[in-house]
Amino acid sequence: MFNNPTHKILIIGLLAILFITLSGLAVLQGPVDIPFNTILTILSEAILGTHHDTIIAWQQSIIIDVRLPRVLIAMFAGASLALCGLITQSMFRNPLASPSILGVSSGASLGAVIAIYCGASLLSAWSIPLFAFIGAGITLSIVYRIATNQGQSNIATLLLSGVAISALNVAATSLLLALSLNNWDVARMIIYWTMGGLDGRTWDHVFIILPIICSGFICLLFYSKPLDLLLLGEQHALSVGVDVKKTRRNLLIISTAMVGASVSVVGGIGFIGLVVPHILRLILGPSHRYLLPASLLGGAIALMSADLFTSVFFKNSEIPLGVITAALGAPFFLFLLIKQRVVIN
Amino acid sequence: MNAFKLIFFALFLLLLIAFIQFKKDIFVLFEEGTGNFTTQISTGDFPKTLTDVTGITYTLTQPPKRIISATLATDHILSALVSQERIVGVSRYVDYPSLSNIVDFYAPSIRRTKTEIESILSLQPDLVFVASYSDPEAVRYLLRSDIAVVRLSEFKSFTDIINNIRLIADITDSKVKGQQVIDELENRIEFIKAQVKPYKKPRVLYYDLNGFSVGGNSLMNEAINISGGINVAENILPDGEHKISEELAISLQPDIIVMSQWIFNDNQQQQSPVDILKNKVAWANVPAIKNNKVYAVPGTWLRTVSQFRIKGVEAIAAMLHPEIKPYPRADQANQHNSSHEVIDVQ
Repeated sequence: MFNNPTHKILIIGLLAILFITLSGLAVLQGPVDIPFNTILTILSEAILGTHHDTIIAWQQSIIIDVRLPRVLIAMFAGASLALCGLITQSMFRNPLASPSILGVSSGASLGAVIAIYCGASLLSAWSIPLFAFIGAGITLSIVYRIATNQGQSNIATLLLSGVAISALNVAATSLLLALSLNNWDVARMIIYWTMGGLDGRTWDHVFIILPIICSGFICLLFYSKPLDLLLLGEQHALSVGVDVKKTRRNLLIISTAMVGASVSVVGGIGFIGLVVPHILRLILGPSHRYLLPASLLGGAIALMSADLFTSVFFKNSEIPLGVITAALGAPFFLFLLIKQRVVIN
Repeated sequence: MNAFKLIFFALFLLLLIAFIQFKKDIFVLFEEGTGNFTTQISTGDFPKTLTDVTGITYTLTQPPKRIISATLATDHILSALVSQERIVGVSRYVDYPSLSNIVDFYAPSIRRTKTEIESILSLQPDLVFVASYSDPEAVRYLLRSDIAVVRLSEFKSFTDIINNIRLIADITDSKVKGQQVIDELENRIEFIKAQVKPYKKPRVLYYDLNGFSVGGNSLMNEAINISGGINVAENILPDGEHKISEELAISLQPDIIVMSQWIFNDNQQQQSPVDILKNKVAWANVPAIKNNKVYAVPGTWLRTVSQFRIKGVEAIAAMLHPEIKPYPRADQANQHNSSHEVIDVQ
């Protein structure tokens, strides 16, 4: 862990450099080999509006309409998952908390599966995100209502009801899948959707996720102090003037919106929400002033590098992205844990 | 004392391992079959001997009269070979419009079964058809239960389909009908091949909206080749059906895209995958989209591994080469029972 603020800023700077390098690489690298110069010409035409006759139309489609949305979605979805993980862990003072613990992810999945099951997904690209959103919102309101009694919400009840509702959502998703098995096309679509991933995502998906993540992050910046204080416990936070009830409610709403948006676009990609904040906390310490931007960058880096890793080393294979994030993240996380244990001893 | 216990434990373990090594045949059913494990049938007249790849044999003294077909492919093949009186059970998927070409063909009195041991045994069959993809637990039970079982395992080409039809016809004592179905199938394939021969071969991509395409050594690849096209993904993807990245699919620049038409929630009026693909901005510069050559073939024709597969090939051939003539219909009527609804090639 680095205690010196200059070091912390340096690390965030390094993360930012890594982030920019990775986004550049992700645009340059894909299953199809397109020369570096061509990609630069295509990008310059798109950004500066200059016209080049040498550009081949299909290569332009690949860069502008396939790779760019894919990179942006990986960026935003990873960032939002990591941020929500950070918030839930801090808010509940529970190292196991992640966006999935409140049932929000499973609620979003259930919503999306309902959209596919009813055939709504065929009508518009927006229907799956919309249903996912509604699913996430309903789940959160139920969980919050159960756990809140006379304005006071008990953290243990909140987490437990989250786990219970989450189990219910998973059961309902399985039921729908079982029911849809009599229609091959629907079942196939549900299975591929629940596996998650970045294939076939378009600019529509970017526009769904972009406003929510950006506004969510800006709102969260105002909560770095209250989050630090909540870590000390509710009583302490109350005693220094934090409106615990309101803060918690607002944070829950923001994180639901963000998780709903990312699950609706990339499906179930686990692990990032749980582990990225932990890794960063081990490196940067508990202060949210540094953790919030670091998680934003860290989540984006994690998902982008996982995607890049798959496209470089497992070309044309069917390995789900979630598997890669877990396979790469877990050893690194364990390494940090062991190192920290050695330091403490 | 503890050391003694440990030695005893180790010896016991060794004994058990030795026992398993010597009595391997007990566990033979647990070995995953790889490659071809289609049941072998003795030549000649009844009684016939069926030999499973596990070495278990059955003798059928007379043609089976209580047949259970636990796979969709055998439901389809049997529909053209034996009378319904001889069938006591068919697979539960046989009436699902998204999977079956013979919806409502079998009488409601014939049980729809899952590959589930209790319901299969209760029907007292004398022959059960299963496939390499059937529930392995149920297959193991069946193999042990002294009921004749025919396992099919090869479905990668028309030759495989023809071999399966021949095997089923042989064991159900319907060789004449079987040969008719096979002749019809071969004639139709040859007819298409002869028709498309003079034309230039377009570059064809099979694409599924879930992001799947087909490499070589698969029925879809064969279908494209027979229909006078070149499968652009043949040497790019591994054999069989595989995921293809959108980027790669676009870069292959196919002249024609063939998709599988879905039947969503039994309502055929819903948006076709063709429209969804055409509306994707990223695909706008693919020749097939520019020239409006994206077609959907009913999924039931592309998924079946029975004689109905030819309908898929004929449909693709008509899309690739609109100039060719359809197969003369008079001969087509011979293939199926009169009560059998034949879906027309659009």
